[in-house]
Amino acid sequence: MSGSGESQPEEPAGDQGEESEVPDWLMRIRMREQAERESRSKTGEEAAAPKDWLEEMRARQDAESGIASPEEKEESALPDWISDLKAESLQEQPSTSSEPVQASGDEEDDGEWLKKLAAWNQAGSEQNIPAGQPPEEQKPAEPGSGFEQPAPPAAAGGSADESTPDWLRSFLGQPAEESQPQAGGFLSGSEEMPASEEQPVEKTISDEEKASFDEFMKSRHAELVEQNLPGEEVPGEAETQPEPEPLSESGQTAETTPGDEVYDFSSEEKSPEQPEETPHAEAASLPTAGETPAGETALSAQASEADLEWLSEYHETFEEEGQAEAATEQAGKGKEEEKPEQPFLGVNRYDWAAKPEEAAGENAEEIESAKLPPWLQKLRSVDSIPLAEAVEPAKTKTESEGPLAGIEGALQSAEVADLYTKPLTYSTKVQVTERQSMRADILRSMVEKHAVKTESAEVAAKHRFLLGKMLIGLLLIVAAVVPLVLQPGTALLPAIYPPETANAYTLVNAIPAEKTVLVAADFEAGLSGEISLSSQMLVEHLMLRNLPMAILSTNPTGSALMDSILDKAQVNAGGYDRANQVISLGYLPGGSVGLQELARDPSAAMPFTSSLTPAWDLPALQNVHAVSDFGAVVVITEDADSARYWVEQVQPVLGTTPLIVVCSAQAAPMLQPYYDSGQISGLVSGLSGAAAYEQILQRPGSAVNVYGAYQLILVILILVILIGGAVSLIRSSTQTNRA
Amino acid sequence: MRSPIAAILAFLVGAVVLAGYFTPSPLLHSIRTPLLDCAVTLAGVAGLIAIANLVFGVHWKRIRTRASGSSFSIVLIIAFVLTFVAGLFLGPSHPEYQKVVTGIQVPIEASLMAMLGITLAYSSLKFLQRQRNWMGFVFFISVLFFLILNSGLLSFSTDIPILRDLVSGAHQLPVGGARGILLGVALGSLATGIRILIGADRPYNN
Repeated sequence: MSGSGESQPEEPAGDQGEESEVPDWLMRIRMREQAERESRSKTGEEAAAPKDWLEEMRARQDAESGIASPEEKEESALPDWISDLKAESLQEQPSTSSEPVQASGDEEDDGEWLKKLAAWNQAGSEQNIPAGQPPEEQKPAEPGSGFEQPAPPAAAGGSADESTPDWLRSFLGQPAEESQPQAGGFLSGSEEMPASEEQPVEKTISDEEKASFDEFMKSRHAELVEQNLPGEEVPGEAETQPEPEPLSESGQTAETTPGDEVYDFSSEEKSPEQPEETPHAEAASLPTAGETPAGETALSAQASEADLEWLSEYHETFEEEGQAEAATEQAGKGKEEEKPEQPFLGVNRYDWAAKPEEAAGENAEEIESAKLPPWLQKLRSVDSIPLAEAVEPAKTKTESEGPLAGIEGALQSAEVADLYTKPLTYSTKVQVTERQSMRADILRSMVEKHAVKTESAEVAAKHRFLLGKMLIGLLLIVAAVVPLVLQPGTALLPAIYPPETANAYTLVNAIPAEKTVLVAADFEAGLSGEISLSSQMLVEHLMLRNLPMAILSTNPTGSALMDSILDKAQVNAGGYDRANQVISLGYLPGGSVGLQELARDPSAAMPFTSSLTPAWDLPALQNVHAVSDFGAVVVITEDADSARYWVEQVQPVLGTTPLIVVCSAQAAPMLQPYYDSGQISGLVSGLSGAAAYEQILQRPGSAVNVYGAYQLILVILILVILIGGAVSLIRSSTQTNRA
Repeated sequence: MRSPIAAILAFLVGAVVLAGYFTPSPLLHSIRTPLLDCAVTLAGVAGLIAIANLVFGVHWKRIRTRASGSSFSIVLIIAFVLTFVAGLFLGPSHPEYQKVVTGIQVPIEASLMAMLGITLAYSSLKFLQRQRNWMGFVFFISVLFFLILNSGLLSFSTDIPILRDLVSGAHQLPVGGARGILLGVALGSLATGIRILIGADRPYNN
């Protein structure tokens, strides 16, 4: 499987470019490792105590497995492509074991298994590194990648160690020959991962393995603390690191089961023999059965081929990406001068930070950039990811208005106002579609026909109404004028006088001569014509008897209207001293309340005349101290209520003084009960009553003259109503029949 | 006055006046007399205020706002001013001043009454078209009957005893109806007065 393109499994030729990617702590680790190696090479001292355990593991491994050369075993067990990768990775510097230690504390949690691989790789890289090879060639693992440099497969001679975890041993099960260099290996680098049917990452770590690894890490950490060399690799540590389990010829380790293959994830470069591999091509490049040792390795090889197909897919996918990313990394990277010691000694470790171009410095023609799968990319450290250009802070804007004017970087209050728009105004206009308007036009045309007819009918009706009223008016005018002009006084006079009219005549005739008569003119101008005709003869009768009169009115116009009646009566009566006999008391306000006041004290109610002279000092009223002192009270009114007020308020205090009422024909029925009850002494109602009064008095008056016209008008009205009613009945019945 | 004081005052005044009406007590008489005088005076002043409001509150405002009919308001105000000034100088009993009433108001109101008669006559033509039911027909017949009865065309009935009695009886029919109306009016007035006295109705609280 090809690795990611970000960091190439290539050789340290690209170290300089790696410097920008490699974090500082890793750099320090590498430097220390390098220094240790140098010192080791100078002194030739054996590894210190922390390396003892690694040596022991190696010794045990050798003893158990009996493998003389780990390399040979690896080569025989691993597929060709893995072995090729391994061979290439051998050229890299071994990584120090301190790197995993120096990794940030956060990484220990994430890449625990990688740390184990790193420790294993370190032990293996010491054996695989050729002498004199600079340690920079080996690329340290990305601290945050989560993938520490996997431990190389079992080095030549490396045997399974007791402290070696099983999962690690399974990586070592694949013989070295089975490994082939993969272009852009998944874990490109110097590490070699034991191939297996299942991915190593899928192998679970037992508790014992964890404990052993933890012990190793603790010891290592203690050593570093004592030495006060953070990240410094303990000399000899690499040697003491447990050797990876060498791969057996069959490609299996002692603890691996048949069929398991060790996959070398440390392959960094793409095999030059397979510059651009397709999945099929890559599959073809997988170690075939022929390449593996016959017999037992045949099946494992075939299985490895099948298993590694997925690696080939990754290889092809990320090859190009790796190249592009490496190019970007190289442009932004600093110079990495040194390459610290690789924790996986002797094994080419995949350098996450390495650029494809840098790694290809050594074998530019053969090695291609590796591509990381997506899940691996996520586990890459942050440092290995090229930083995006720093986002420039938003350009500050100087506020130009408002209370923050002139201040830079203030909240853009004005802009906030721009965010709010005017609320939408929904039109109340009816949205009519074309089809709807068309239908409305059709309906309108249908209705207009009827509307025209209705309008014409209404106009005709209105015209008929006006014409009818004019015709009736003309008829009535003719009926009124003709008798008056041609034969005045021609009328059917009543033969029987109404009793109330007769009583009125009698009462007026019985008024003492020295008594003043109180005359109340409570009528309006509208019916003054009928009232004047009705009251004319009674007033003349009073004048004929030369009775003084006190005139008052409960409405403002009554007194003025009464004067016209008095003038006519005076003319007809003749010899009546109106100036001295008639006293105009004026207007009595308050309606019924004023009448009550009058009934209580007339002098207090109306102290002055209409001329503003004291009324009760005049000779006509000198003997009047109460309403009952009057000879009679004559109420002339067209309104039944006015007469009722007089009956209710004044009549109770009159005593024997008669109350005579002259009213219009319309009020007569309402006042008849009062006459029948005796509250009204005499009643002269309408033109008929006046005519009767004139007949009783035997004086020709205007009532008799007008009575003929009055009768004719009534006849015409009767005929009009009859004819109209009949026509209406006939027309309506005809229309009903038609309907 | 929106308070119990107004209701109490109305009750006291009404009670005193009513008691004085039925009880000839000098004390009540002495209290009742000034109350009635005040009421009469207030009624006169209220009429004057009503005239002023009509002139200045309605017609003058209509002229100022140039509302529809403002020209007629101008005529009204001019006529009012002239009449008012003439009355102040001539007096209400002056014969010339009274021509304002007899020469203007009487013809106008009389004409309106005449038009009312003609309108009623025309409406009676189409009465049966609108009221084609038994009540309408009865009303129609009664109108005709009483028009004939009051026209004096049946004066010859006095010579016929039966007809005379019938005509006399016919004359009493309206009286019966009027009596019923009067009774109702009286009872209503009595109830209204009692309601005002007990404070159930407060026409003075607007």
